[in-house]
Amino acid sequence: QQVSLAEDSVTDLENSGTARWAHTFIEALDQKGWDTETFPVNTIGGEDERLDQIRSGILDVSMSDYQKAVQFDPEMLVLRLPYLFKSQEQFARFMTESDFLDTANEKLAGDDLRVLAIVPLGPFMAIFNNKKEVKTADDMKGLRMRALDESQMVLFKALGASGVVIPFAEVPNAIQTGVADGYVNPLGVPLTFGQADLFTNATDARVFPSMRVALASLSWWNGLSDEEKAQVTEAAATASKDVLDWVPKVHDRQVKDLEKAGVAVYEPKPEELQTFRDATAGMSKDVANVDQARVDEIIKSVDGYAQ
Amino acid sequence: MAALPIVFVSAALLMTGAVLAHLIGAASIASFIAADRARFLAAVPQRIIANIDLFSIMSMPLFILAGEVMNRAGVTEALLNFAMSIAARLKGGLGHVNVLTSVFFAGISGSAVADAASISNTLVPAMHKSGYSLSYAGAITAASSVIGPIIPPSIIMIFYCALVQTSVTALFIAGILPGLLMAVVLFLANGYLAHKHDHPRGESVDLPEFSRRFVRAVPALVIPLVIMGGIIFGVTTPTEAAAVAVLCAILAGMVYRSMSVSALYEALKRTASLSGSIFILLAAVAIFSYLAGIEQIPLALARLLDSLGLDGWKYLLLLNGIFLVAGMFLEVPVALALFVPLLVPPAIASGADPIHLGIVIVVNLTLGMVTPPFGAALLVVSAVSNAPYWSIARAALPFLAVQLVLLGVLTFVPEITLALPRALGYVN
Amino acid sequence: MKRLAMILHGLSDRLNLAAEFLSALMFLGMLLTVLLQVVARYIFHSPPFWTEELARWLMVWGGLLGATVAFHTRTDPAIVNPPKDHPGRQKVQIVSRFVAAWLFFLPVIWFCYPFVLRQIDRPSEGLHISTAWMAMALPISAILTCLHALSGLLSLSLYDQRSVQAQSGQSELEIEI
Ligand code: NA
Ligand code: NA
Repeated sequence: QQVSLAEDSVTDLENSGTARWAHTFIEALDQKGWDTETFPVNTIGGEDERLDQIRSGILDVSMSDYQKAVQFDPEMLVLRLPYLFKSQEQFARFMTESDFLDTANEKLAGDDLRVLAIVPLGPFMAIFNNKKEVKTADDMKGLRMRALDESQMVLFKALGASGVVIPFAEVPNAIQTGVADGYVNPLGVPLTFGQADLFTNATDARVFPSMRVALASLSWWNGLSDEEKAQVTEAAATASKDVLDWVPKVHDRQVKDLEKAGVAVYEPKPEELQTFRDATAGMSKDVANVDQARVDEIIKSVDGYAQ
Repeated sequence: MAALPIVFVSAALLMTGAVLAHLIGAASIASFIAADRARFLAAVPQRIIANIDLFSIMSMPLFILAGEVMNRAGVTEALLNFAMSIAARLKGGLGHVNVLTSVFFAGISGSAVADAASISNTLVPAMHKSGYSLSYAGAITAASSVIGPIIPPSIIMIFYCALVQTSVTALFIAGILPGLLMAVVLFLANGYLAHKHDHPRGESVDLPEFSRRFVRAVPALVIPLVIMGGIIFGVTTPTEAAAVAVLCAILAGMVYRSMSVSALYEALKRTASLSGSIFILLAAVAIFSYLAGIEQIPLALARLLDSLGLDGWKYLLLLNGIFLVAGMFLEVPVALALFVPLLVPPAIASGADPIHLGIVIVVNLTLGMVTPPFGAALLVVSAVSNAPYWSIARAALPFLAVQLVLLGVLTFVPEITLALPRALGYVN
Repeated sequence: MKRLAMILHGLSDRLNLAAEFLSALMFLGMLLTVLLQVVARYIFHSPPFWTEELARWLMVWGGLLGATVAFHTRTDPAIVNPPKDHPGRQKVQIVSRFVAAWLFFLPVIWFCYPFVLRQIDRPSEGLHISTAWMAMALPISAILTCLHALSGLLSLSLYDQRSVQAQSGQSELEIEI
């Protein structure tokens, strides 16, 4: 059987969870005798184009922006609520034990999509900026943050900062020219993309998990035999386990690497973290396009995996 | 084997004058089928839209429009008169004026051909009347017209950035110093030749008075300041700078009383068809790049170059040769569309800086325009000024020689190109 | 056949005038939209989130319509342009332009149908309107170009160049015999 996969990150296995996942997944299928093909990042198009190629069955698997899946199943946005997950372990347990993905895949089937895994890019989101040391949510006031999409705009508004949507390619220009003062990303992103010199300060506020998705083409999936489907599921589970085990180990090293690159990383104290939690608490009462009852149900389910 | 008919049909259509963009597109589509990759063709429309729906090319139509408006707005004349009042008194003064006008012009428009055409119309006859040979006047006009696309704004640079996916702002800023250096070597060559051939200096009686010329040139001079200031200090994106430039050009045209609604409509129509032919080229290249990405051609090419020992400076030299020749024979967007997607990724993979490469390629392509036997700028100057082509080409050789020396320096001393964007924080 | 060629020729010219006007209008719209963006940001300190997207849409539509105008007026780049005083080679070029355009655009049009369908339920990020509205520019531009190419081809078989030119609005068509 054949599988083609499009990567979304440079092959930096030390800093990028999604690169690790793709690597492990393809290797696992390779060993089972599959005919595998990997397209490096940007060789066959950006986010929207890879999504379109998945939906039309040209491409089998794409490592994609989480928001791309949210477009088709708004409920997935709930997992991005700030401070929904209390710890990395809770996130790992929820991803491996809950039936959240199965429910999501029922909805995505109508759009020829299937999520193989939700993949953490690295540790939970940190806040980067080049203006000041941010210790509490109050310190965010006056900062103009680069937003990836509209859901991040909502986040920044809740924190008292302002947001401006800027594509990732334009981020260095925007930061240097003061169009934006910072962004939220996992600790490893400035390292992977050589952006550490853009920032003076990072706050390890652990806002929410940094998630990517491994999206598969449904027509490809449906064309597989039961045995092949089992092999894919197993390969995905192996890859997810590898990344989930890797994330906690990488945190301290990435902090050191950032410090070395001249970014002061601040670890907020519990009471300081609480200010971020309080400021963003309201967001769980207004998740775009999802019933409040369903939002509460998902939150309850996630809470069930806390220690 | 299946590639043979594709090559044959493409060559036949190429030689009989088919649209190049359509050929690139059709040949790429056929190659997908030949390579047994037909299922990927379903992504073709989406690749096309993605390759033209780009943040980085948004400034291009607006800069084309700015140039078109400016051509109709009497801005060139004001700049020329201002340059006169500065440099005409020197030995070989009108030659210096010619170069200086091109520098001013370059700050507003991105086209070498437009520069060559309008200066051939105005300054070349004036130079001839005051004692320069027609061929010398034509030669310095053609040679200095290449400054246009090197000093920002520059249509060529925007096109390059769209193909390589790099920052227009950074490339624009990188072009300033090389463009000014190009002017400096031309000033030096003109000064030397003026003494050698005893070229005239302007008589004070027929010279315009500086202050009046300056005041009249202000509306035109504001345009490059707005563009560069806006981009360098991050006040505006290149696209916004281009829109403001159009507005300034329209206002300047109203000051010079040569702007009308119908002139604006003509400028918009030209913008539409010029942008359109570049867009369709981008559309075709999108399919070719998709093919190259799937078949990982740049990677294979990089390995081939490596195995041939063509790394580092040797590859840069090879690139120089290819783009110089391409600039002689092909229209600049065509040359970029054909060679950049193939030749630039291997260079970047082996450690070259995309911004430095961009400047080297732009200088190469523009110098190709003043290199005989086919240089487009030479052809335009000859056609507009009625000077014999070969006499202009011969007279341009000394200028070409110093320009090629500068090209060599720019190629092998990347610091000259990268210093300014680095100081402003646009390049690491 | 003769009638069909004449009708097609008239249609091609009229559609071109419309495309030219619309394309110019789109670029004017793009200029105004970007200017509005500058004004909003620096005077009112509130960058509207939709201006950039609207400007891009206008650019894509303007550019793809402009491409058909460039084809109709023969201003798009070819590597070889036959001399004006060589009617035989001019005729061959018209055939050649037809063949290349159709070889390129027919597959594009074919795959545009499912492509546009996939876009229908996808809202754009800024304006929240279906991205099919932008995607449609491509098949329209491709069909229009194919039509111009066909009209050129049919006209060839029926008239000598002089009468073709006399009947058409293609004043920039550089064929003179
Ligand atoms: Na000049
Ligand atoms: Na310029």
